[in-house]
Amino acid sequence: MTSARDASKVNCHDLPVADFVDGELDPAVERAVERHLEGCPSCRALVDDLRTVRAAAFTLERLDPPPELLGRIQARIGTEGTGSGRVLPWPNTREAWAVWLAAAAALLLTTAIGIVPLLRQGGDAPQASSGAPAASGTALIDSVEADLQAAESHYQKAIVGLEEIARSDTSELDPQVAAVLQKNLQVVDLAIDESRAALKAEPSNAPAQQGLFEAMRTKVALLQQTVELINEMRKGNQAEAGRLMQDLSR
Amino acid sequence: MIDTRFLLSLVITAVAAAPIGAATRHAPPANERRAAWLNRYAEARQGPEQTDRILQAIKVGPGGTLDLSNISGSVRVTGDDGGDIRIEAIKRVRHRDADEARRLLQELRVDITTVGGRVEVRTTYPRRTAGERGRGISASVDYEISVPAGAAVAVKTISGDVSVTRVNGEVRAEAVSGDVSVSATPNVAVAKTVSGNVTARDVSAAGNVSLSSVSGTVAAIGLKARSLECGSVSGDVQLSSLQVERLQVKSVSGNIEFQAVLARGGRYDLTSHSGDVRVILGSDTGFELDASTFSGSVRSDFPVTLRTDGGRGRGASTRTIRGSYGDASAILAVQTFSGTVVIGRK
Repeated sequence: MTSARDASKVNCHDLPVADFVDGELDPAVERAVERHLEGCPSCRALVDDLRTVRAAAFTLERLDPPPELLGRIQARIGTEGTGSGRVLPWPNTREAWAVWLAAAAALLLTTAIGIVPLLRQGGDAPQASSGAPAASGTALIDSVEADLQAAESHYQKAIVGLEEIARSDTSELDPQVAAVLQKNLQVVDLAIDESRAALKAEPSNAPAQQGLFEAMRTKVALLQQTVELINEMRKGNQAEAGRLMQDLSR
Repeated sequence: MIDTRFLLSLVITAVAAAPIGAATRHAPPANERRAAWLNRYAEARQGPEQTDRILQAIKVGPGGTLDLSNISGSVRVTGDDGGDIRIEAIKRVRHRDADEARRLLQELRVDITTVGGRVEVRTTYPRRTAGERGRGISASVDYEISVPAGAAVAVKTISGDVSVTRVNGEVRAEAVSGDVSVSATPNVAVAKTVSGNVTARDVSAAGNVSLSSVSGTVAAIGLKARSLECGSVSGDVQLSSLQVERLQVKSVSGNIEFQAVLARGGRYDLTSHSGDVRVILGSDTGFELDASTFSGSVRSDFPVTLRTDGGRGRGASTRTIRGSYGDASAILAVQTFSGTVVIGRK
């Protein structure tokens, strides 16, 4: 936890973004970071993106690696730790985070889209573009407008990928549940449209900016939930249950 | 045009999820009449209901773990002073052909496995061939379970209500289509549903609690935890008598109502797109306020000392209030796009 004595040192270059997003800061430092973020859209966008990546990471299904792989990784860590000492530092600075964030976004996007082959059981999978999020991560530093465009593009890519999965496999869901999800996706779409229209009229309006990204985050989360449900329904006995429930709806 | 069979299935599913057998003599007469009417309706369409009751008790000691997965039907779990997990499962099947109904009832399985103090309950549906599908049968299992008060409980169901009461171990309660309710439990981790309401009453947790729905209302009364995350897309969020140090509430079109005493050093974030946000504070804990809306309005009943804000003008307007009240020891951030924000006194 970052201590209170660091409160006066908060600036763009040593913003404790990870601790801030994790809620690990002392209240005084947290307050100082909050104040900095209010006046710094660039850092705010970075924190928003980090929160999105963090939230999305928690929604991914936990996969346990095979024991032999775990063993090899542990052996390798042991070797590198005592040998060359090449340990990647946890990023501390804002610039470092921009790069890590881009990599994390690319990883998440790839993971989300990587579910497609599993869900489609051998169908064609869309190709993840790891280059685009990396580019958007770099653009975060440039300007507010570039930040907004880059972040929106990042969300949009995730949304398009997830929508494709959800659209092609919604038949796996109970029609009632699918209808509820669809209706609520429309609610979120309306929120996105309203925020976009507001931003067009007032590009620097903070509530409009927050509204847009909050709505996009919600849409990503809702689509991820849809995909998770589809995945659940496909698992063994529940697939049969899903069909049974659909039969009831015919 | 709405498919009539779809409507019928909703009715029948509702019957399955809220079994008629659960209706007591003390239930309101209107409910009894409706239940009887629905029963007759389902009987006419899908044949009489056949049921089978399963009872099993497993000794697990004062702790233990219950992990239950259901598909259609309600699940009710209650903690008690005993050392057993006692399971009562009622299988319900409807089919016009009585022999087929008996076969389905037999094949609708409740699998109970025990490893150490962990009891796993799985509901397994009969496999059907393609030709058998679409015949409009109905099958569900309702569970009534008592566990030692110290047990941990994880319950998932696809269609049906879930309730967990007086359980001291970690509680995770999830449904896809149904209401989820947790009460009098000191270690709640998750209560969520897609289509339905979530209610947490007199619950607590040492760490984080997560309450969520997509289309229903999320309500917490008397919740005590370090942090609480809750949200709904189109439903309301209603929080009262809360004691939390960190709060994150999100809705898109639903309203948010938050009544609490703020903790010193606490942080409270409430965001809605088009819903109204109403914060009612019951003490004089100071707070730093950041409240804003794009096209709605913001009002505070507390005398907030406004601050200038990075060259963006004074800290208050009908759409923005930024400033501090008292010792500003808590942080209160409220955002809406088009809703109204009210910070009021209890």
